[in-house]
Amino acid sequence: MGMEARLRKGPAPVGAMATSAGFERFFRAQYPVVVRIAWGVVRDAHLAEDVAQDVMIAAERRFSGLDGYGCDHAAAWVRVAAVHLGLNAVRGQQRRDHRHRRVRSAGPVATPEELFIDREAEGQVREALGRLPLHSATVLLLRHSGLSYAEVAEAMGVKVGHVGTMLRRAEAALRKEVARGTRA
Amino acid sequence: MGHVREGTLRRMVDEPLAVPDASAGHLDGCVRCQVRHERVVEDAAATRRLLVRPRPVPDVDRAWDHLVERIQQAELAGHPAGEKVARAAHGRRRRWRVMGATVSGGAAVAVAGVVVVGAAAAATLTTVFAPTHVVPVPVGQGDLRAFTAALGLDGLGFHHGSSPAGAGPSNGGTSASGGTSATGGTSASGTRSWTYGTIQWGTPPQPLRTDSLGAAEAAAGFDLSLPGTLPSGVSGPPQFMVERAATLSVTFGANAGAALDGSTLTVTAGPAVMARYGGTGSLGDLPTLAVLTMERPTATSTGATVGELESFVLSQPGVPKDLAQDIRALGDLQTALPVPIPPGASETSVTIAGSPGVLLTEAGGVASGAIWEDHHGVVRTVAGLLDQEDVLGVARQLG
Repeated sequence: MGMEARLRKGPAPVGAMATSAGFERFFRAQYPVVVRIAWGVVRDAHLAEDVAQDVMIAAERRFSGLDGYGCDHAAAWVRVAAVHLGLNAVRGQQRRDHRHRRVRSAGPVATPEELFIDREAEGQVREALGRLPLHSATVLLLRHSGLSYAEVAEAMGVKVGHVGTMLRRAEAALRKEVARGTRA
Repeated sequence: MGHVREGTLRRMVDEPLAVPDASAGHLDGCVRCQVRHERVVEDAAATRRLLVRPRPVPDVDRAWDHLVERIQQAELAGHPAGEKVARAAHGRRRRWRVMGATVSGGAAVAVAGVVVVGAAAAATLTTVFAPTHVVPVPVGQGDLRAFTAALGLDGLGFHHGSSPAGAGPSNGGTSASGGTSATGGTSASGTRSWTYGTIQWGTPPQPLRTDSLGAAEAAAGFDLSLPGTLPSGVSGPPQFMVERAATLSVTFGANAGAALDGSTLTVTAGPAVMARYGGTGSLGDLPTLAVLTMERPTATSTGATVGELESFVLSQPGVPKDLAQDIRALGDLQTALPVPIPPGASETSVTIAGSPGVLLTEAGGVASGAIWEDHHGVVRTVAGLLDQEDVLGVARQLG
Protein backbone atom coordinates (compact mmCIF):
# COMPACT_ATOMS: atom_id res chain seq x y z
CA MET A 1 0.00 0.00 0.00
CA GLY A 2 1.37 3.38 -0.96
CA MET A 3 1.92 6.22 1.41
CA GLU A 4 -1.01 8.28 0.19
CA ALA A 5 -3.39 5.38 0.62
CA ARG A 6 -2.10 4.73 4.12
CA LEU A 7 -2.55 8.31 5.11
CA ARG A 8 -6.02 8.54 3.64
CA LYS A 9 -7.06 5.79 6.01
CA GLY A 10 -6.79 8.16 8.92
CA PRO A 11 -9.10 11.04 9.67
CA ALA A 12 -6.34 13.60 9.74
CA PRO A 13 -5.72 16.05 6.95
CA VAL A 14 -2.41 15.14 5.44
CA GLY A 15 0.34 17.53 4.57
CA ALA A 16 3.37 17.55 2.39
CA MET A 17 4.22 13.97 3.20
CA ALA A 18 1.24 12.67 1.26
CA THR A 19 2.50 14.39 -1.84
CA SER A 20 5.96 12.82 -1.58
CA ALA A 21 5.45 9.70 -3.57
CA GLY A 22 9.10 8.71 -3.37
CA PHE A 23 9.36 8.84 0.40
CA GLU A 24 8.14 5.31 1.10
CA ARG A 25 10.67 3.92 -1.37
CA PHE A 26 13.36 6.03 0.22
CA PHE A 27 12.30 4.93 3.71
CA ARG A 28 12.36 1.24 2.86
CA ALA A 29 15.80 1.48 1.30
CA GLN A 30 17.42 3.62 3.97
CA TYR A 31 15.72 2.64 7.21
CA PRO A 32 17.74 -0.56 7.82
CA VAL A 33 20.96 1.35 7.18
CA VAL A 34 19.92 4.14 9.53
CA VAL A 35 18.99 1.65 12.27
CA ARG A 36 22.33 -0.08 11.85
CA ILE A 37 24.24 3.19 12.19
CA ALA A 38 22.14 4.37 15.12
CA TRP A 39 22.63 1.05 16.86
CA GLY A 40 26.39 1.50 16.53
CA VAL A 41 26.01 4.60 18.70
CA VAL A 42 23.34 3.73 21.23
CA ARG A 43 23.93 -0.05 21.49
CA ASP A 44 20.28 -0.70 22.14
CA ALA A 45 17.94 -2.07 19.48
CA HIS A 46 14.86 -0.22 20.72
CA LEU A 47 16.60 3.09 21.12
CA ALA A 48 18.25 2.65 17.72
CA GLU A 49 14.83 2.33 16.14
CA ASP A 50 13.59 5.39 18.03
CA VAL A 51 16.53 7.36 16.68
CA ALA A 52 15.95 6.02 13.18
CA GLN A 53 12.29 7.02 13.32
CA ASP A 54 13.21 10.56 14.37
CA VAL A 55 15.78 10.77 11.59
CA MET A 56 13.32 9.65 8.95
CA ILE A 57 10.65 12.05 10.13
CA ALA A 58 13.17 14.86 10.02
CA ALA A 59 14.19 13.75 6.54
CA GLU A 60 10.59 13.72 5.41
CA ARG A 61 10.22 17.32 6.52
CA ARG A 62 13.53 18.39 5.08
CA PHE A 63 13.19 16.82 1.68
CA SER A 64 9.45 16.82 1.07
CA GLY A 65 8.54 19.01 -1.83
CA LEU A 66 11.99 18.65 -3.28
CA ASP A 67 11.20 15.28 -4.75
CA GLY A 68 14.77 14.51 -3.85
CA TYR A 69 14.49 11.20 -2.07
CA GLY A 70 16.27 9.42 -4.85
CA CYS A 71 19.32 11.63 -4.67
CA ASP A 72 22.51 10.80 -2.86
CA HIS A 73 22.19 13.91 -0.74
CA ALA A 74 19.12 12.64 1.10
CA ALA A 75 20.73 9.25 1.76
CA ALA A 76 23.91 10.91 2.97
CA TRP A 77 21.93 13.24 5.18
CA VAL A 78 20.02 10.53 7.04
CA ARG A 79 23.20 8.56 7.69
CA VAL A 80 25.01 11.43 9.33
CA ALA A 81 21.81 12.43 11.11
CA ALA A 82 21.64 8.94 12.61
CA VAL A 83 25.04 9.43 14.19
CA HIS A 84 24.25 12.88 15.51
CA LEU A 85 20.88 12.01 16.95
CA GLY A 86 22.32 8.80 18.37
CA LEU A 87 25.03 10.73 20.15
CA ASN A 88 22.45 13.20 21.43
CA ALA A 89 20.48 10.28 22.80
CA VAL A 90 23.55 8.86 24.48
CA ARG A 91 24.31 12.20 26.03
CA GLY A 92 20.80 12.53 27.37
CA GLN A 93 21.34 10.86 30.71
CA GLN A 94 17.74 10.85 31.80
CA ARG A 95 16.50 9.22 28.64
CA ARG A 96 19.36 6.75 28.67
CA ASP A 97 18.63 5.68 32.20
CA HIS A 98 14.99 5.26 31.36
CA ARG A 99 15.88 3.06 28.44
CA HIS A 100 18.35 1.05 30.44
CA ARG A 101 15.54 -0.13 32.65
CA ARG A 102 14.00 -1.91 29.75
CA VAL A 103 17.10 -2.63 27.70
CA ARG A 104 17.18 -5.87 25.85
CA SER A 105 20.37 -7.13 24.36
CA ALA A 106 20.38 -7.31 20.59
CA GLY A 107 22.90 -10.14 20.67
CA PRO A 108 22.50 -13.80 21.48
CA VAL A 109 21.26 -14.90 24.91
CA ALA A 110 24.08 -14.82 27.45
CA THR A 111 24.63 -15.66 31.06
CA PRO A 112 23.95 -12.94 33.64
CA GLU A 113 27.71 -12.54 34.18
CA GLU A 114 28.32 -12.16 30.47
CA LEU A 115 25.47 -9.72 30.19
CA PHE A 116 26.92 -7.66 33.01
CA ILE A 117 30.37 -7.58 31.40
CA ASP A 118 28.87 -6.76 28.00
CA ARG A 119 26.83 -3.91 29.38
CA GLU A 120 29.83 -2.51 31.20
CA ALA A 121 31.89 -2.61 28.04
CA GLU A 122 29.08 -1.21 25.91
CA GLY A 123 28.67 1.65 28.34
CA GLN A 124 32.37 2.46 28.15
CA VAL A 125 32.29 2.46 24.38
CA ARG A 126 29.24 4.72 24.35
CA GLU A 127 30.85 7.12 26.74
CA ALA A 128 34.12 7.12 24.82
CA LEU A 129 32.29 7.84 21.58
CA GLY A 130 30.46 10.68 23.27
CA ARG A 131 33.74 12.29 24.28
CA LEU A 132 35.19 12.23 20.79
CA PRO A 133 34.87 15.20 18.45
CA LEU A 134 31.68 14.86 16.45
CA HIS A 135 33.38 14.28 13.10
CA SER A 136 35.59 11.58 14.63
CA ALA A 137 32.64 9.70 16.10
CA THR A 138 30.79 10.10 12.84
CA VAL A 139 33.51 8.64 10.63
CA LEU A 140 34.00 5.73 13.02
CA LEU A 141 30.34 4.87 13.21
CA LEU A 142 29.68 5.21 9.51
CA ARG A 143 32.65 3.10 8.49
CA HIS A 144 32.14 0.42 11.13
CA SER A 145 28.47 0.18 10.24
CA GLY A 146 29.62 -1.17 6.91
CA LEU A 147 29.64 1.87 4.64
CA SER A 148 32.40 2.00 2.04
CA TYR A 149 34.95 4.81 1.99
CA ALA A 150 33.06 6.38 -0.90
CA GLU A 151 29.78 6.22 1.02
CA VAL A 152 31.37 7.67 4.14
CA ALA A 153 32.85 10.48 2.04
CA GLU A 154 29.49 11.21 0.47
CA ALA A 155 27.72 11.20 3.81
CA MET A 156 30.25 13.49 5.47
CA GLY A 157 30.79 15.71 2.48
CA VAL A 158 34.53 15.12 2.28
CA LYS A 159 36.88 13.74 -0.35
CA VAL A 160 37.27 9.98 -0.41
CA GLY A 161 40.98 10.44 0.07
CA HIS A 162 40.37 12.13 3.41
CA VAL A 163 38.36 9.28 4.91
CA GLY A 164 41.40 7.13 5.65
CA THR A 165 43.12 9.95 7.50
CA MET A 166 40.01 10.84 9.48
CA LEU A 167 39.39 7.20 10.30
CA ARG A 168 42.98 6.60 11.36
CA ARG A 169 42.94 9.54 13.75
CA ALA A 170 39.51 8.67 15.08
CA GLU A 171 40.49 5.06 15.80
CA ALA A 172 43.58 6.11 17.69
CA ALA A 173 41.51 8.64 19.63
CA LEU A 174 38.85 6.08 20.48
CA ARG A 175 41.39 3.64 21.86
CA LYS A 176 42.80 6.36 24.07
CA GLU A 177 39.35 7.38 25.28
CA VAL A 178 38.37 3.79 26.06
CA ALA A 179 41.63 3.25 27.94
CA ARG A 180 41.02 6.44 29.87
CA GLY A 181 37.50 5.34 30.75
CA THR A 182 38.75 1.94 31.89
CA ARG A 183 41.36 3.48 34.19
CA ALA A 184 38.89 5.97 35.67
CA MET B 1 58.23 8.51 -3.39
CA GLY B 2 57.95 9.62 0.23
CA HIS B 3 56.58 7.54 3.03
CA VAL B 4 53.01 6.35 2.74
CA ARG B 5 50.49 8.66 4.39
CA GLU B 6 48.61 7.43 7.44
CA GLY B 7 45.27 7.71 5.66
CA THR B 8 46.54 5.55 2.83
CA LEU B 9 47.90 2.99 5.27
CA ARG B 10 44.48 2.88 6.88
CA ARG B 11 42.67 2.42 3.60
CA MET B 12 45.00 -0.47 2.75
CA VAL B 13 43.41 -2.35 5.64
CA ASP B 14 39.87 -2.07 4.25
CA GLU B 15 40.16 -1.38 0.55
CA PRO B 16 43.64 -2.46 -0.58
CA LEU B 17 42.71 -2.38 -4.26
CA ALA B 18 41.82 1.30 -4.01
CA VAL B 19 45.35 2.26 -2.96
CA PRO B 20 47.87 3.28 -5.65
CA ASP B 21 50.38 0.60 -6.60
CA ALA B 22 53.22 2.98 -5.78
CA SER B 23 52.11 3.13 -2.15
CA ALA B 24 51.83 -0.64 -1.87
CA GLY B 25 55.25 -1.01 -3.49
CA HIS B 26 56.79 1.47 -1.10
CA LEU B 27 55.33 -0.32 1.87
CA ASP B 28 56.88 -3.60 0.76
CA GLY B 29 60.36 -2.12 0.92
CA CYS B 30 60.13 0.38 3.78
CA VAL B 31 60.60 -0.89 7.31
CA ARG B 32 59.48 2.38 8.83
CA CYS B 33 56.18 2.33 6.96
CA GLN B 34 55.72 -1.33 7.84
CA VAL B 35 55.99 -0.48 11.52
CA ARG B 36 53.45 2.34 11.08
CA HIS B 37 51.22 0.01 9.13
CA GLU B 38 51.26 -2.51 11.94
CA ARG B 39 50.10 0.16 14.37
CA VAL B 40 47.34 1.18 11.99
CA VAL B 41 46.21 -2.44 11.61
CA GLU B 42 46.24 -2.90 15.37
CA ASP B 43 44.13 0.21 16.03
CA ALA B 44 41.69 -0.75 13.28
CA ALA B 45 41.26 -4.25 14.69
CA ALA B 46 40.83 -2.96 18.23
CA THR B 47 38.21 -0.49 17.08
CA ARG B 48 36.39 -3.19 15.16
CA ARG B 49 36.28 -5.32 18.29
CA LEU B 50 34.82 -2.40 20.22
CA LEU B 51 32.27 -1.29 17.68
CA VAL B 52 31.20 -4.29 15.65
CA ARG B 53 28.52 -6.45 17.23
CA PRO B 54 25.57 -8.44 15.92
CA ARG B 55 23.21 -5.82 14.59
CA PRO B 56 19.45 -5.72 14.92
CA VAL B 57 17.46 -6.28 11.74
CA PRO B 58 14.44 -3.98 11.84
CA ASP B 59 10.96 -4.90 10.71
CA VAL B 60 10.60 -2.26 8.00
CA ASP B 61 6.86 -2.78 7.48
CA ARG B 62 6.14 -2.24 11.15
CA ALA B 63 8.50 0.73 11.26
CA TRP B 64 6.77 2.28 8.28
CA ASP B 65 3.35 1.94 9.86
CA HIS B 66 4.68 3.48 13.06
CA LEU B 67 6.17 6.41 11.19
CA VAL B 68 2.96 7.14 9.32
CA GLU B 69 1.03 6.99 12.58
CA ARG B 70 3.41 9.43 14.25
CA ILE B 71 3.17 11.93 11.44
CA GLN B 72 -0.60 11.69 11.38
CA GLN B 73 -0.81 12.27 15.12
CA ALA B 74 1.56 15.22 14.96
CA GLU B 75 -0.40 16.82 12.15
CA LEU B 76 -3.65 16.30 14.01
CA ALA B 77 -2.15 18.07 17.00
CA GLY B 78 -0.94 20.89 14.78
CA HIS B 79 2.73 20.24 15.50
CA PRO B 80 4.46 18.94 12.40
CA ALA B 81 6.61 16.00 13.39
CA GLY B 82 10.33 16.38 13.10
CA GLU B 83 10.55 20.16 13.44
CA LYS B 84 12.81 19.98 16.46
CA VAL B 85 14.51 16.83 15.36
CA ALA B 86 15.44 18.32 12.01
CA ARG B 87 17.49 20.93 13.80
CA ALA B 88 19.18 18.44 16.10
CA ALA B 89 19.70 15.85 13.42
CA HIS B 90 22.75 17.43 11.94
CA GLY B 91 24.80 18.64 14.81
CA ARG B 92 24.89 19.48 18.44
CA ARG B 93 23.87 22.99 17.59
CA ARG B 94 22.84 22.79 13.97
CA ARG B 95 24.14 20.94 11.00
CA TRP B 96 24.41 22.81 7.75
CA ARG B 97 25.21 21.14 4.52
CA VAL B 98 27.41 23.14 2.19
CA MET B 99 27.85 22.03 -1.36
CA GLY B 100 30.32 23.55 -3.72
CA ALA B 101 29.82 25.95 -6.53
CA THR B 102 32.33 27.78 -8.61
CA VAL B 103 33.52 31.36 -8.05
CA SER B 104 36.55 33.57 -8.15
CA GLY B 105 37.84 34.31 -4.70
CA GLY B 106 37.63 38.01 -5.28
CA ALA B 107 34.07 37.83 -6.51
CA ALA B 108 33.16 35.54 -3.66
CA VAL B 109 34.56 37.84 -1.05
CA ALA B 110 32.73 40.71 -2.71
CA VAL B 111 29.44 38.86 -2.67
CA ALA B 112 29.99 37.78 0.91
CA GLY B 113 30.72 41.35 1.83
CA VAL B 114 27.54 42.45 0.16
CA VAL B 115 25.55 40.01 2.24
CA VAL B 116 27.16 41.09 5.47
CA VAL B 117 26.73 44.76 4.70
CA GLY B 118 23.15 44.16 3.70
CA ALA B 119 22.53 42.27 6.87
CA ALA B 120 24.02 45.00 8.99
CA ALA B 121 22.02 47.67 7.21
CA ALA B 122 18.84 45.73 7.63
CA ALA B 123 19.56 44.96 11.22
CA THR B 124 19.85 48.64 12.00
CA LEU B 125 16.28 49.05 10.92
CA THR B 126 14.53 46.48 13.02
CA THR B 127 13.23 45.95 16.47
CA VAL B 128 13.25 42.20 16.48
CA PHE B 129 14.99 41.33 13.26
CA ALA B 130 14.95 37.69 12.25
CA PRO B 131 14.84 37.61 8.47
CA THR B 132 13.31 34.64 6.76
CA HIS B 133 14.01 35.57 3.15
CA VAL B 134 16.23 37.75 1.01
CA VAL B 135 15.05 40.71 -1.02
CA PRO B 136 17.13 42.56 -3.64
CA VAL B 137 17.79 46.27 -3.13
CA PRO B 138 19.59 48.19 -5.89
CA VAL B 139 22.45 50.16 -4.36
CA GLY B 140 24.38 52.92 -6.09
CA GLN B 141 28.15 53.16 -5.71
CA GLY B 142 27.94 55.92 -3.13
CA ASP B 143 24.73 54.87 -1.46
CA LEU B 144 26.17 52.85 1.38
CA ARG B 145 28.80 55.46 2.11
CA ALA B 146 26.16 58.19 2.06
CA PHE B 147 23.90 56.05 4.22
CA THR B 148 26.47 55.52 6.96
CA ALA B 149 27.72 59.11 6.69
CA ALA B 150 24.19 60.42 7.18
CA LEU B 151 24.01 58.55 10.45
CA GLY B 152 27.49 59.62 11.54
CA LEU B 153 28.70 56.01 11.42
CA ASP B 154 31.17 56.27 8.56
CA GLY B 155 34.21 56.97 10.70
CA LEU B 156 33.74 54.14 13.15
CA GLY B 157 35.60 51.60 11.04
CA PHE B 158 34.86 48.34 12.81
CA HIS B 159 37.89 46.50 11.52
CA HIS B 160 39.14 43.17 12.71
CA GLY B 161 41.24 43.32 15.82
CA SER B 162 41.06 47.07 16.10
CA SER B 163 38.80 49.32 18.02
CA PRO B 164 37.25 52.32 16.35
CA ALA B 165 38.99 54.60 18.81
CA GLY B 166 40.12 57.82 17.26
CA ALA B 167 38.40 57.17 13.99
CA GLY B 168 34.89 58.20 14.82
CA PRO B 169 32.76 61.28 15.06
CA SER B 170 34.35 64.33 16.54
CA ASN B 171 32.00 64.45 19.50
CA GLY B 172 32.79 60.96 20.71
CA GLY B 173 34.63 59.86 23.79
CA THR B 174 36.03 56.37 23.56
CA SER B 175 37.09 53.56 25.81
CA ALA B 176 38.27 50.18 24.63
CA SER B 177 39.29 46.95 26.23
CA GLY B 178 41.02 43.96 24.74
CA GLY B 179 40.64 40.23 25.21
CA THR B 180 41.95 37.00 23.83
CA SER B 181 39.96 34.77 21.57
CA ALA B 182 39.91 31.03 21.92
CA THR B 183 42.19 30.75 18.93
CA GLY B 184 44.66 33.28 20.17
CA GLY B 185 43.47 36.27 18.17
CA THR B 186 42.82 39.63 19.69
CA SER B 187 39.29 40.62 20.53
CA ALA B 188 38.53 44.26 21.04
CA SER B 189 35.46 45.89 22.45
CA GLY B 190 34.55 49.34 23.45
CA THR B 191 32.04 52.12 23.87
CA ARG B 192 31.64 55.31 21.91
CA SER B 193 29.43 58.31 22.34
CA TRP B 194 27.58 59.05 19.13
CA THR B 195 25.50 61.93 17.86
CA TYR B 196 22.33 60.01 18.59
CA GLY B 197 23.38 58.07 21.66
CA THR B 198 26.00 55.48 22.60
CA ILE B 199 27.44 52.60 20.62
CA GLN B 200 28.96 49.52 22.18
CA TRP B 201 30.67 46.86 20.16
CA GLY B 202 32.49 43.64 20.46
CA THR B 203 34.90 43.23 17.58
CA PRO B 204 35.58 39.58 16.82
CA PRO B 205 39.15 38.32 16.60
CA GLN B 206 40.93 38.00 13.29
CA PRO B 207 39.17 35.54 11.03
CA LEU B 208 40.59 32.05 11.23
CA ARG B 209 42.10 30.70 8.04
CA THR B 210 42.58 26.97 7.93
CA ASP B 211 42.49 24.01 5.60
CA SER B 212 41.09 21.81 8.34
CA LEU B 213 37.37 21.14 8.26
CA GLY B 214 37.46 20.21 11.94
CA ALA B 215 39.21 23.43 12.92
CA ALA B 216 36.75 25.49 10.88
CA GLU B 217 33.79 23.75 12.47
CA ALA B 218 35.22 24.17 15.94
CA ALA B 219 35.83 27.87 15.41
CA ALA B 220 32.41 28.49 13.87
CA GLY B 221 30.53 26.45 16.42
CA PHE B 222 28.60 24.50 13.83
CA ASP B 223 29.30 21.64 11.49
CA LEU B 224 29.84 21.95 7.80
CA SER B 225 29.52 19.42 5.04
CA LEU B 226 31.39 19.84 1.82
CA PRO B 227 30.57 18.62 -1.65
CA GLY B 228 31.68 15.21 -2.72
CA THR B 229 31.77 16.28 -6.36
CA LEU B 230 33.04 19.60 -7.57
CA PRO B 231 32.12 21.32 -10.81
CA SER B 232 34.53 21.05 -13.70
CA GLY B 233 37.50 23.35 -13.29
CA VAL B 234 37.26 23.44 -9.52
CA SER B 235 39.50 21.50 -7.20
CA GLY B 236 39.53 20.77 -3.49
CA PRO B 237 40.13 20.49 -0.67
CA PRO B 238 38.88 23.95 0.21
CA GLN B 239 40.44 26.59 2.38
CA PHE B 240 38.20 27.84 5.15
CA MET B 241 37.85 31.33 6.52
CA VAL B 242 35.84 31.57 9.71
CA GLU B 243 34.37 34.85 10.91
CA ARG B 244 33.22 34.82 14.50
CA ALA B 245 29.98 36.36 15.68
CA ALA B 246 30.00 40.11 16.20
CA THR B 247 27.63 42.18 18.32
CA LEU B 248 26.82 45.87 18.20
CA SER B 249 24.50 47.71 20.58
CA VAL B 250 23.13 51.18 20.08
CA THR B 251 21.51 53.04 22.96
CA PHE B 252 19.63 56.05 21.65
CA GLY B 253 19.72 59.39 23.42
CA ALA B 254 17.50 62.46 23.34
CA ASN B 255 18.95 63.59 19.97
CA ALA B 256 17.30 60.60 18.32
CA GLY B 257 13.86 61.89 19.27
CA ALA B 258 11.32 61.01 21.92
CA ALA B 259 10.30 57.77 20.26
CA LEU B 260 13.79 56.29 20.40
CA ASP B 261 15.19 57.98 23.49
CA GLY B 262 16.35 55.29 25.94
CA SER B 263 15.89 52.37 23.57
CA THR B 264 18.74 49.94 22.94
CA LEU B 265 19.09 48.12 19.66
CA THR B 266 21.38 45.08 19.69
CA VAL B 267 22.52 43.55 16.44
CA THR B 268 24.25 40.17 16.20
CA ALA B 269 25.80 38.84 13.00
CA GLY B 270 27.69 35.64 12.35
CA PRO B 271 29.43 33.35 12.81
CA ALA B 272 30.11 32.70 9.15
CA VAL B 273 32.31 30.26 7.27
CA MET B 274 33.56 30.63 3.74
CA ALA B 275 34.85 27.55 1.98
CA ARG B 276 37.05 28.54 -0.94
CA TYR B 277 38.15 26.18 -3.68
CA GLY B 278 41.00 26.46 -6.14
CA GLY B 279 41.06 25.74 -9.83
CA THR B 280 42.35 22.83 -11.84
CA GLY B 281 45.01 22.61 -14.53
CA SER B 282 46.35 25.98 -15.57
CA LEU B 283 44.04 27.68 -13.09
CA GLY B 284 46.15 26.20 -10.31
CA ASP B 285 45.56 27.93 -7.03
CA LEU B 286 43.27 30.55 -8.53
CA PRO B 287 40.15 30.60 -6.37
CA THR B 288 37.24 29.53 -8.51
CA LEU B 289 34.45 28.81 -6.08
CA ALA B 290 33.30 29.98 -2.68
CA VAL B 291 30.44 28.91 -0.49
CA LEU B 292 29.48 31.15 2.39
CA THR B 293 27.33 29.89 5.23
CA MET B 294 26.25 32.16 8.01
CA GLU B 295 23.68 32.24 10.73
CA ARG B 296 21.05 34.83 9.96
CA PRO B 297 21.66 38.18 11.61
CA THR B 298 19.28 39.18 14.34
CA ALA B 299 18.45 42.39 16.16
CA THR B 300 16.54 43.14 19.31
CA SER B 301 15.27 46.40 20.68
CA THR B 302 14.35 47.28 24.22
CA GLY B 303 11.77 49.85 23.27
CA ALA B 304 11.54 51.42 19.84
CA THR B 305 9.38 49.71 17.27
CA VAL B 306 10.42 48.72 13.77
CA GLY B 307 8.45 51.61 12.32
CA GLU B 308 10.05 54.14 14.65
CA LEU B 309 13.54 52.90 13.87
CA GLU B 310 12.83 52.91 10.14
CA SER B 311 11.45 56.44 10.26
CA PHE B 312 14.44 57.67 12.21
CA VAL B 313 17.04 56.13 9.91
CA LEU B 314 15.42 56.96 6.60
CA SER B 315 14.54 60.52 7.56
CA GLN B 316 18.14 61.49 8.19
CA PRO B 317 19.38 64.14 5.76
CA GLY B 318 21.86 62.57 3.37
CA VAL B 319 20.23 59.15 3.08
CA PRO B 320 19.77 58.62 -0.68
CA LYS B 321 16.09 59.05 -1.57
CA ASP B 322 15.99 56.13 -3.98
CA LEU B 323 17.58 53.85 -1.42
CA ALA B 324 15.14 55.01 1.23
CA GLN B 325 12.24 54.30 -1.11
CA ASP B 326 13.55 50.86 -1.93
CA ILE B 327 13.95 50.04 1.74
CA ARG B 328 10.42 51.26 2.51
CA ALA B 329 9.16 49.11 -0.35
CA LEU B 330 10.56 46.01 1.32
CA GLY B 331 7.51 45.89 3.55
CA ASP B 332 8.01 43.91 6.74
CA LEU B 333 11.58 44.69 7.74
CA GLN B 334 11.50 42.14 10.50
CA THR B 335 11.57 39.27 8.06
CA ALA B 336 13.29 40.67 4.96
CA LEU B 337 17.05 40.51 4.52
CA PRO B 338 18.03 43.12 1.93
CA VAL B 339 20.64 42.04 -0.60
CA PRO B 340 22.35 45.07 -2.12
CA ILE B 341 22.61 44.82 -5.91
CA PRO B 342 25.71 46.65 -7.15
CA PRO B 343 25.49 48.91 -10.20
CA GLY B 344 25.69 47.01 -13.49
CA ALA B 345 24.88 43.66 -11.99
CA SER B 346 21.82 41.83 -13.25
CA GLU B 347 19.50 40.33 -10.70
CA THR B 348 16.89 37.62 -10.97
CA SER B 349 14.54 36.32 -8.32
CA VAL B 350 14.75 32.55 -8.02
CA THR B 351 13.47 29.79 -5.78
CA ILE B 352 16.07 27.57 -4.20
CA ALA B 353 14.79 24.51 -2.38
CA GLY B 354 11.54 26.28 -1.70
CA SER B 355 13.13 29.49 -0.43
CA PRO B 356 13.19 32.80 -2.31
CA GLY B 357 16.64 33.74 -3.47
CA VAL B 358 18.48 36.28 -5.55
CA LEU B 359 20.66 35.29 -8.49
CA LEU B 360 23.25 37.89 -9.42
CA THR B 361 25.49 38.14 -12.46
CA GLU B 362 28.19 40.76 -12.66
CA ALA B 363 28.14 43.18 -15.56
CA GLY B 364 30.65 41.28 -17.70
CA GLY B 365 28.89 37.96 -17.18
CA VAL B 366 32.09 36.38 -15.85
CA ALA B 367 30.93 35.72 -12.31
CA SER B 368 27.59 34.80 -10.80
CA GLY B 369 26.28 34.31 -7.33
CA ALA B 370 23.17 33.13 -5.57
CA ILE B 371 22.00 34.23 -2.12
CA TRP B 372 19.14 32.79 -0.15
CA GLU B 373 18.05 31.86 3.34
CA ASP B 374 17.04 28.27 3.82
CA HIS B 375 14.26 26.90 5.98
CA HIS B 376 16.61 26.57 8.95
CA GLY B 377 17.57 30.22 9.14
CA VAL B 378 20.89 29.74 7.42
CA VAL B 379 21.90 32.43 4.95
CA ARG B 380 23.81 30.86 2.09
CA THR B 381 25.82 32.30 -0.74
CA VAL B 382 27.26 30.38 -3.64
CA ALA B 383 29.38 32.38 -6.04
CA GLY B 384 32.13 31.88 -8.57
CA LEU B 385 33.45 32.16 -12.07
CA LEU B 386 30.44 30.31 -13.38
CA ASP B 387 27.39 31.04 -15.42
CA GLN B 388 23.99 31.35 -13.81
CA GLU B 389 22.95 27.80 -14.54
CA ASP B 390 26.01 26.34 -12.85
CA VAL B 391 25.59 28.52 -9.79
CA LEU B 392 21.92 27.75 -9.54
CA GLY B 393 22.54 24.07 -10.09
CA VAL B 394 24.93 23.98 -7.17
CA ALA B 395 22.77 26.20 -4.98
CA ARG B 396 19.80 23.92 -5.40
CA GLN B 397 21.80 21.02 -4.06
CA LEU B 398 22.32 22.82 -0.78
CA GLY B 399 18.70 22.99 0.31
